[in-house]
Amino acid sequence: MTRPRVKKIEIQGFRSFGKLRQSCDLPDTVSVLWGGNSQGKTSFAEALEFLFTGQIARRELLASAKDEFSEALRNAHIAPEASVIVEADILCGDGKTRRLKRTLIEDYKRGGAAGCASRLEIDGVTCAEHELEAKLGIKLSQAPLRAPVLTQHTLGYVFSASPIERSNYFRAILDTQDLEDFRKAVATLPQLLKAPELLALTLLAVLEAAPAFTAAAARLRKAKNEAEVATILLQTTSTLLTSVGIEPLKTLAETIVQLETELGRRRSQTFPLDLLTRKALLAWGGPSSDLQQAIEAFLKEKAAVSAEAQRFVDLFRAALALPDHDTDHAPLDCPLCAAKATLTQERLTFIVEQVRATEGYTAAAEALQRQMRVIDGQLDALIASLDQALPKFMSKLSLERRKAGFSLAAIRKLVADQDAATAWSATSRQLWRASRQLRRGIAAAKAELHAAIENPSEWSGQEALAAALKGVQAEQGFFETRMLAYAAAAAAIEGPLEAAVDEGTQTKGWAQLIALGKTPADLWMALLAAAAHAAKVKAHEKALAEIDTGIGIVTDEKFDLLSKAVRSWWDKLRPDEPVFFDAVKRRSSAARRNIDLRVGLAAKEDRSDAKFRDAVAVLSQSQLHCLGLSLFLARAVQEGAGFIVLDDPVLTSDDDYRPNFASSVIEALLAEGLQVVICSQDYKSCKDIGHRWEHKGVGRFQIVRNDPVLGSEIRSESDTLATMLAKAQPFVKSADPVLRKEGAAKLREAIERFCKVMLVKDRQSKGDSAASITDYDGKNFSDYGATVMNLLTQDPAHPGKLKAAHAYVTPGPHDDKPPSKGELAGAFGDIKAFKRDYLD
Amino acid sequence: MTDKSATEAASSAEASETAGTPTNTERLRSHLKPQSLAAALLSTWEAGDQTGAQARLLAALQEFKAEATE
Repeated sequence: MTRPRVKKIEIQGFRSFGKLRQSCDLPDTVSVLWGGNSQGKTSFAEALEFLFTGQIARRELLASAKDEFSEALRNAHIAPEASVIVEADILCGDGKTRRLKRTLIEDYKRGGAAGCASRLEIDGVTCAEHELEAKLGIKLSQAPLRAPVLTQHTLGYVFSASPIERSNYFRAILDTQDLEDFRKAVATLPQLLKAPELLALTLLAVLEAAPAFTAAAARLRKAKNEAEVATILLQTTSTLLTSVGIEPLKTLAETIVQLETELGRRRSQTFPLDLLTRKALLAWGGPSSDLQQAIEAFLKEKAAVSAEAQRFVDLFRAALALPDHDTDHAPLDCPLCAAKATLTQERLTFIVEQVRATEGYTAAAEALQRQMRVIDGQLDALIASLDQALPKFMSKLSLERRKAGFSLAAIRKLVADQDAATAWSATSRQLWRASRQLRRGIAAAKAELHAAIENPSEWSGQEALAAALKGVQAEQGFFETRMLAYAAAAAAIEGPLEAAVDEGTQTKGWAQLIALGKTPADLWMALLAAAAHAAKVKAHEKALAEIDTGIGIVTDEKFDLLSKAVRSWWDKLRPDEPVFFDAVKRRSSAARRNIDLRVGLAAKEDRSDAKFRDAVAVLSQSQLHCLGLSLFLARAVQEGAGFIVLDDPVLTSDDDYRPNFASSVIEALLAEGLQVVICSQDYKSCKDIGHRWEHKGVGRFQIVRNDPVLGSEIRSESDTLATMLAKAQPFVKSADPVLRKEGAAKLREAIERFCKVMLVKDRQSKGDSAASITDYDGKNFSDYGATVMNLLTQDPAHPGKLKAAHAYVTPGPHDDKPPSKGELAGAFGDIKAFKRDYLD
Repeated sequence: MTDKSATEAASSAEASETAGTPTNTERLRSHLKPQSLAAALLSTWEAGDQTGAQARLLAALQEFKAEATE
């Protein structure tokens, strides 16, 4: 599969190009575009860059001047509605030619860091940039020099780039991003490899920080098993007890109790820390839907039963509960009021009916009572939890607190951060008030519940109950908010307070030792987890170091290959020069970001005495230019580019090296399979390249911009007459007589060329296919002028105009006076018109 | 042959066929100790695409240590 080729380029409205579309057909091999200063060569090169990338790299490189590129892509002289388009026919690897088109949608704006906007199309279908590679085989490079286009502005990028930019540039050339991605993924593993967060390890860390226990903590870290952990803890607690005058008991559990007792005693002498302890609030989730259902069912049944029946239902039940009234019998005395012979069969039947009628109501009332009791119990639990959720000191009377030594003043003495103590005090008061409000709310709700439970038939407080329960929930939420504020404020003083107390009582680390001593098994498990984690971290570090070393070696290998390629291009451009390119390499084996460009300075021809220096420091501007070109060419080859565009690749001042470029460099590029497009202001070089590579079908073009409004024009150099006229034009209107004289000579050559082309065209039209311009070599206007005038038949005035034009530009034998501006302009205009009327 | 080594062999053969020159990862592997964690991580990296690579690498790291401590 061959590499992509640019077959044709069309440019419209881009930078120096005007609204009339300019185009040129490029051969597969070499194309050279000649143009003087400010004619549009760089615009041509950047048009291709814009086509492929949608940007121009120059703006990215001049980071501080981005705003200055505002409206830079659109030709300043074209109408706002005129399109800015760059198109190219790309011959793809599959042998098919596809049309690539980029249309500017929005130009660069001042303050618009994102750049310009454009639309990319392949064969008329809008596409994304990655499709350049997928559909056309055009692979772009690393930013900012993404397109295979070298301009004067981008040539020195690698020398002026920051170390990171330079590193990225070369990494892209070396194509080692996959290794960097791998390395990065491995390097970030520790973030995922979380250290075990276990209470025992936290306690051990505190113990390690307490000088009295540092050694013991170190021994615990190295313990081999759980028994050893317990032994060390026992030894530590025993030693500690002994040191404070307490005879230690035998087991760890016993010594821990002894130590805890002693710690409590000592702390209480300084400050009662336990009065700050509290538990979490077991929040009430609110009444369940069962309550509401029970209330609704009860109210429904209640409405269906008369008030009298509701009142007497219990009495009726009591009457029915008596024996011997389920069969016919004589009237009995009423068992409830003792009235004589009042409980007749008829009355008994009535009572049974009444009880049946109130069964639903009774069941609903019982269900309601059950639900009310459930809620009542939940509120009792909430009160109990509330008591425990408050710090212990709040349950003590002020006298008790003072007796225990608990006061704000005492806290202020022990805590250095007075603001923290003030905040704790304020949040304590707020918490207390919130707890009172919650209690009041609970009491109100309980009162409503009890009213219903005790006398459901008289109860009608469903709305008041609902409001009271909602109130409890609201107060509970408020209390929780206050609790959070208190917890934050308390956390700020508890640590310092405990440290100060332990410091004052010389018990630093005791609490942690006690906690660890209570569960040595937990500590052992935590130590195992910590050891496993440490082993993983160590293994990871070792692996990453090995990967870094390996990537470094791979990078060096690839740098060696690149260095050879750059050296090869340098030697083609500057053979036998005592200064030569040596290598591009990492600054050291450990360096990841610093890339050096090293050159050799030799006095001997065989370079055996070379001294090596940094290129940027010792190379001249011309040499740096050459190195930049060498790097670009090496990169293009390395990345498998199909074509390259070079804008003035060799400095005008480098006359000695121009032939090397025209011959050996282009030869090597063609051998690499690259299509080469060169823009140059040096006519001699363009002509030289044209001659040298004629056998390869070199394409020769001229870029001229005679009128800023019309913009740059691309002309094929096969139209030699047009080229001659273009070269003459700048001199025609010159005020300088010397320049006008030169212009007259150029115009005279153009007139002679016109005549020869007319003669060849006439002969060819008459069947002389062998007719050639060279047939008239050595002849001049006097030889063929009359014949040509006979061919100018479109206007009777034409022969005379040709004769006059030639006379204007042809001085007499002793005539040093140059033609006037008017004469030259007239002659120039006539020949241009003849060309249009008879040849184009 | 394990799945891992089969994958390595397949990708290595494919790379050799298509490019003729060693790939970057092949070059890197030649500079890593065969039984090392670094080599195991590289194999894991190559065994799938970048989606989920971190999780695979982490598992490889955990697994490697588990083997080593058994």
